[in-house]
Amino acid sequence: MSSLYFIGIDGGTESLRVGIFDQEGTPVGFASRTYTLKHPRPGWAEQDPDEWWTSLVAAVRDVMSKSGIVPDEIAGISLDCTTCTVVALDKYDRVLRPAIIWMDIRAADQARRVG
Amino acid sequence: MIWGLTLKHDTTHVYRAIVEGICYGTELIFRTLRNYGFQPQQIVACGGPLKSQFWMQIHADVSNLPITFTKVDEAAVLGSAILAAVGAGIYPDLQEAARHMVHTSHRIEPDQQRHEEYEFYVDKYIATYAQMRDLMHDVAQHVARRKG
Repeated sequence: MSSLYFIGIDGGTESLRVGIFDQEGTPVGFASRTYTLKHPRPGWAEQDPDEWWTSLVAAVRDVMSKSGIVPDEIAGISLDCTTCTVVALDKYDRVLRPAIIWMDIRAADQARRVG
Repeated sequence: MIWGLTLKHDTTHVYRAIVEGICYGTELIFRTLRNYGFQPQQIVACGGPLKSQFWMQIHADVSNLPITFTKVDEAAVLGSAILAAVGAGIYPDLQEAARHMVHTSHRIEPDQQRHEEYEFYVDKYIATYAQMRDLMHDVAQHVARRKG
Protein backbone atom coordinates (compact mmCIF):
# COMPACT_ATOMS: atom_id res chain seq x y z
CA MET A 1 0.00 0.00 0.00
CA SER A 2 1.45 3.36 -0.94
CA SER A 3 1.65 6.11 1.68
CA LEU A 4 -0.08 9.42 1.52
CA TYR A 5 1.92 12.62 1.78
CA PHE A 6 1.12 16.23 2.60
CA ILE A 7 2.83 19.44 1.60
CA GLY A 8 3.02 22.19 4.21
CA ILE A 9 4.01 25.65 3.02
CA ASP A 10 4.93 28.46 5.43
CA GLY A 11 5.34 31.90 3.89
CA GLY A 12 7.27 33.77 6.56
CA THR A 13 8.71 37.27 6.71
CA GLU A 14 12.14 36.47 5.37
CA SER A 15 11.66 33.18 3.56
CA LEU A 16 9.21 30.62 2.30
CA ARG A 17 9.64 27.07 3.58
CA VAL A 18 8.11 23.89 2.23
CA GLY A 19 8.02 20.44 3.79
CA ILE A 20 6.60 17.08 2.79
CA PHE A 21 5.34 14.76 5.54
CA ASP A 22 3.65 11.38 5.66
CA GLN A 23 0.48 10.86 7.70
CA GLU A 24 2.48 10.05 10.83
CA GLY A 25 4.23 13.41 10.58
CA THR A 26 7.54 11.94 9.42
CA PRO A 27 9.42 14.53 7.37
CA VAL A 28 10.37 13.43 3.86
CA GLY A 29 12.03 16.60 2.62
CA PHE A 30 12.38 20.34 3.06
CA ALA A 31 13.20 23.25 0.77
CA SER A 32 13.18 27.01 1.21
CA ARG A 33 13.74 30.26 -0.65
CA THR A 34 14.52 33.64 0.87
CA TYR A 35 13.07 36.87 -0.42
CA THR A 36 13.99 40.52 -0.11
CA LEU A 37 12.68 42.75 2.67
CA LYS A 38 13.04 46.45 1.94
CA HIS A 39 12.93 49.34 4.42
CA PRO A 40 12.67 52.46 2.22
CA ARG A 41 12.24 54.64 5.32
CA PRO A 42 12.42 54.04 9.08
CA GLY A 43 9.34 52.06 10.11
CA TRP A 44 8.49 51.06 6.55
CA ALA A 45 8.68 47.43 5.40
CA GLU A 46 7.87 46.31 1.87
CA GLN A 47 8.13 43.18 -0.29
CA ASP A 48 7.58 42.33 -3.93
CA PRO A 49 4.60 39.90 -4.17
CA ASP A 50 5.99 38.44 -7.41
CA GLU A 51 8.95 37.26 -5.38
CA TRP A 52 6.62 35.32 -3.05
CA TRP A 53 5.23 33.45 -6.06
CA THR A 54 8.57 32.67 -7.69
CA SER A 55 9.89 31.51 -4.29
CA LEU A 56 6.86 29.25 -3.79
CA VAL A 57 7.15 27.67 -7.23
CA ALA A 58 10.91 27.13 -6.89
CA ALA A 59 10.73 25.69 -3.35
CA VAL A 60 7.85 23.30 -4.14
CA ARG A 61 9.60 22.00 -7.28
CA ASP A 62 12.82 21.67 -5.30
CA VAL A 63 11.29 19.62 -2.48
CA MET A 64 9.35 17.42 -4.91
CA SER A 65 12.46 16.55 -6.90
CA LYS A 66 14.55 15.97 -3.74
CA SER A 67 11.93 13.69 -2.15
CA GLY A 68 11.32 11.51 -5.21
CA ILE A 69 7.59 11.54 -4.47
CA VAL A 70 5.26 11.70 -7.45
CA PRO A 71 2.44 14.28 -7.46
CA ASP A 72 -0.25 11.55 -7.28
CA GLU A 73 1.00 10.60 -3.81
CA ILE A 74 0.33 14.13 -2.45
CA ALA A 75 -3.08 13.98 -0.73
CA GLY A 76 -3.20 17.59 0.44
CA ILE A 77 -1.47 20.96 0.32
CA SER A 78 -1.80 23.75 2.87
CA LEU A 79 -0.32 27.23 2.84
CA ASP A 80 0.02 29.76 5.62
CA CYS A 81 1.55 33.21 5.52
CA THR A 82 2.01 36.38 7.53
CA THR A 83 -1.08 38.34 8.44
CA CYS A 84 -1.90 42.06 8.18
CA THR A 85 0.03 42.39 4.92
CA VAL A 86 -1.58 44.59 2.25
CA VAL A 87 -1.24 44.00 -1.50
CA ALA A 88 -2.81 46.68 -3.74
CA LEU A 89 -4.22 45.22 -6.99
CA ASP A 90 -5.87 46.69 -10.06
CA LYS A 91 -9.08 45.23 -11.52
CA TYR A 92 -7.04 42.65 -13.43
CA ASP A 93 -5.39 41.47 -10.16
CA ARG A 94 -2.08 43.01 -11.19
CA VAL A 95 0.14 44.21 -8.36
CA LEU A 96 0.20 48.02 -8.24
CA ARG A 97 2.99 48.64 -5.74
CA PRO A 98 5.22 46.72 -3.34
CA ALA A 99 3.24 44.98 -0.57
CA ILE A 100 3.14 46.80 2.77
CA ILE A 101 3.93 44.02 5.20
CA TRP A 102 2.77 43.39 8.77
CA MET A 103 5.75 45.06 10.47
CA ASP A 104 5.29 48.37 8.63
CA ILE A 105 4.26 51.13 11.07
CA ARG A 106 3.81 54.09 8.70
CA ALA A 107 0.09 54.28 9.58
CA ALA A 108 0.66 54.68 13.34
CA ASP A 109 -0.93 58.17 13.35
CA GLN A 110 -3.99 57.02 11.39
CA ALA A 111 -4.36 54.00 13.68
CA ARG A 112 -4.32 56.31 16.70
CA ARG A 113 -7.01 58.53 15.13
CA VAL A 114 -9.21 55.52 14.39
CA GLY A 115 -8.73 54.62 18.06
CA MET B 1 19.47 48.13 23.39
CA ILE B 2 22.47 47.09 25.51
CA TRP B 3 23.46 49.12 28.56
CA GLY B 4 25.78 48.72 31.52
CA LEU B 5 28.87 47.94 29.41
CA THR B 6 32.25 48.49 31.06
CA LEU B 7 35.85 47.93 29.98
CA LYS B 8 35.79 44.33 31.26
CA HIS B 9 33.08 43.28 28.79
CA ASP B 10 33.97 41.61 25.48
CA THR B 11 32.06 40.13 22.55
CA THR B 12 30.98 37.06 24.53
CA HIS B 13 29.19 39.27 27.08
CA VAL B 14 27.44 41.13 24.25
CA TYR B 15 26.38 37.81 22.71
CA ARG B 16 25.00 36.62 26.02
CA ALA B 17 23.21 39.97 26.49
CA ILE B 18 21.46 39.55 23.12
CA VAL B 19 20.35 36.01 24.00
CA GLU B 20 19.20 37.06 27.48
CA GLY B 21 17.37 40.06 26.01
CA ILE B 22 15.29 37.74 23.81
CA CYS B 23 14.52 35.53 26.82
CA TYR B 24 13.55 38.60 28.89
CA GLY B 25 11.18 39.66 26.10
CA THR B 26 9.51 36.23 26.24
CA GLU B 27 9.32 36.44 30.02
CA LEU B 28 7.56 39.80 29.69
CA ILE B 29 4.87 38.01 27.64
CA PHE B 30 4.60 35.30 30.33
CA ARG B 31 4.31 37.94 33.06
CA THR B 32 1.53 39.63 31.10
CA LEU B 33 -0.26 36.26 30.79
CA ARG B 34 0.14 35.62 34.52
CA ASN B 35 -1.27 39.09 35.29
CA TYR B 36 -4.37 38.10 33.34
CA GLY B 37 -4.73 34.88 35.34
CA PHE B 38 -3.12 32.41 32.93
CA GLN B 39 -0.45 30.13 34.39
CA PRO B 40 1.81 28.70 31.67
CA GLN B 41 3.00 25.22 32.69
CA GLN B 42 5.54 24.50 29.99
CA ILE B 43 7.08 25.87 26.80
CA VAL B 44 7.03 23.84 23.59
CA ALA B 45 9.91 25.07 21.45
CA CYS B 46 10.37 24.83 17.71
CA GLY B 47 12.36 26.48 14.95
CA GLY B 48 16.02 27.33 14.47
CA PRO B 49 16.82 28.60 18.00
CA LEU B 50 16.36 25.18 19.55
CA LYS B 51 19.63 24.12 17.95
CA SER B 52 21.23 26.15 20.76
CA GLN B 53 20.85 24.28 24.08
CA PHE B 54 22.58 27.28 25.70
CA TRP B 55 19.87 29.66 24.52
CA MET B 56 17.02 27.26 25.41
CA GLN B 57 18.39 26.70 28.93
CA ILE B 58 18.41 30.49 29.51
CA HIS B 59 14.76 30.61 28.35
CA ALA B 60 13.89 27.85 30.85
CA ASP B 61 15.81 29.55 33.68
CA VAL B 62 14.48 33.07 33.05
CA SER B 63 10.85 31.92 32.86
CA ASN B 64 11.16 29.06 35.39
CA LEU B 65 9.38 26.69 32.99
CA PRO B 66 10.39 23.34 31.47
CA ILE B 67 10.83 23.30 27.69
CA THR B 68 9.67 20.40 25.54
CA PHE B 69 11.20 20.00 22.09
CA THR B 70 9.48 18.62 19.03
CA LYS B 71 11.26 16.19 16.69
CA VAL B 72 10.50 18.38 13.67
CA ASP B 73 11.99 21.81 14.27
CA GLU B 74 10.25 23.24 11.18
CA ALA B 75 7.04 23.35 13.20
CA ALA B 76 5.21 25.96 11.10
CA VAL B 77 5.66 23.80 8.00
CA LEU B 78 4.50 20.70 9.91
CA GLY B 79 1.51 22.64 11.25
CA SER B 80 0.59 23.59 7.72
CA ALA B 81 0.87 19.93 6.62
CA ILE B 82 -1.37 18.93 9.56
CA LEU B 83 -4.03 21.31 8.21
CA ALA B 84 -3.58 19.69 4.80
CA ALA B 85 -4.12 16.23 6.31
CA VAL B 86 -7.35 17.35 8.02
CA GLY B 87 -8.47 19.17 4.86
CA ALA B 88 -7.89 15.99 2.85
CA GLY B 89 -10.08 14.05 5.29
CA ILE B 90 -7.31 11.77 6.61
CA TYR B 91 -8.03 12.85 10.19
CA PRO B 92 -11.38 14.07 11.53
CA ASP B 93 -10.00 17.10 13.36
CA LEU B 94 -6.81 18.98 14.24
CA GLN B 95 -6.43 17.38 17.69
CA GLU B 96 -6.51 13.88 16.22
CA ALA B 97 -4.12 14.90 13.42
CA ALA B 98 -1.69 16.48 15.91
CA ARG B 99 -1.75 13.32 18.08
CA HIS B 100 -0.52 11.34 15.09
CA MET B 101 1.77 13.87 13.44
CA VAL B 102 3.51 15.75 16.29
CA HIS B 103 6.23 13.91 18.20
CA THR B 104 8.35 15.25 21.04
CA SER B 105 12.01 14.43 21.54
CA HIS B 106 13.18 15.64 24.96
CA ARG B 107 12.67 18.17 27.72
CA ILE B 108 14.89 20.49 29.76
CA GLU B 109 14.19 21.73 33.29
CA PRO B 110 14.70 25.23 34.72
CA ASP B 111 17.35 25.89 37.38
CA GLN B 112 15.60 27.45 40.38
CA GLN B 113 18.63 29.36 41.67
CA ARG B 114 19.44 30.91 38.31
CA HIS B 115 15.77 31.82 37.91
CA GLU B 116 15.86 33.82 41.15
CA GLU B 117 19.02 35.61 40.01
CA TYR B 118 17.39 36.51 36.69
CA GLU B 119 14.31 38.12 38.24
CA PHE B 120 16.19 41.31 39.14
CA TYR B 121 17.44 41.68 35.57
CA VAL B 122 14.03 41.00 34.03
CA ASP B 123 12.66 43.89 36.13
CA LYS B 124 15.41 46.17 34.75
CA TYR B 125 14.72 44.97 31.20
CA ILE B 126 11.03 45.81 31.53
CA ALA B 127 11.79 49.23 33.05
CA THR B 128 14.23 50.10 30.24
CA TYR B 129 11.70 50.76 27.50
CA ALA B 130 9.51 52.99 29.70
CA GLN B 131 12.61 55.02 30.64
CA MET B 132 13.91 55.27 27.07
CA ARG B 133 10.64 55.61 25.19
CA ASP B 134 10.62 59.40 24.69
CA LEU B 135 14.28 59.53 23.65
CA MET B 136 13.78 56.66 21.19
CA HIS B 137 10.78 58.35 19.60
CA ASP B 138 12.66 61.66 19.33
CA VAL B 139 15.46 59.95 17.39
CA ALA B 140 13.05 57.98 15.15
CA GLN B 141 11.16 61.15 14.24
CA HIS B 142 14.40 63.06 13.67
CA VAL B 143 15.66 60.39 11.26
CA ALA B 144 12.27 60.20 9.50
CA ARG B 145 12.25 64.00 9.00
CA ARG B 146 15.78 64.03 7.55
CA LYS B 147 14.86 61.33 5.04
CA GLY B 148 11.73 63.36 4.23
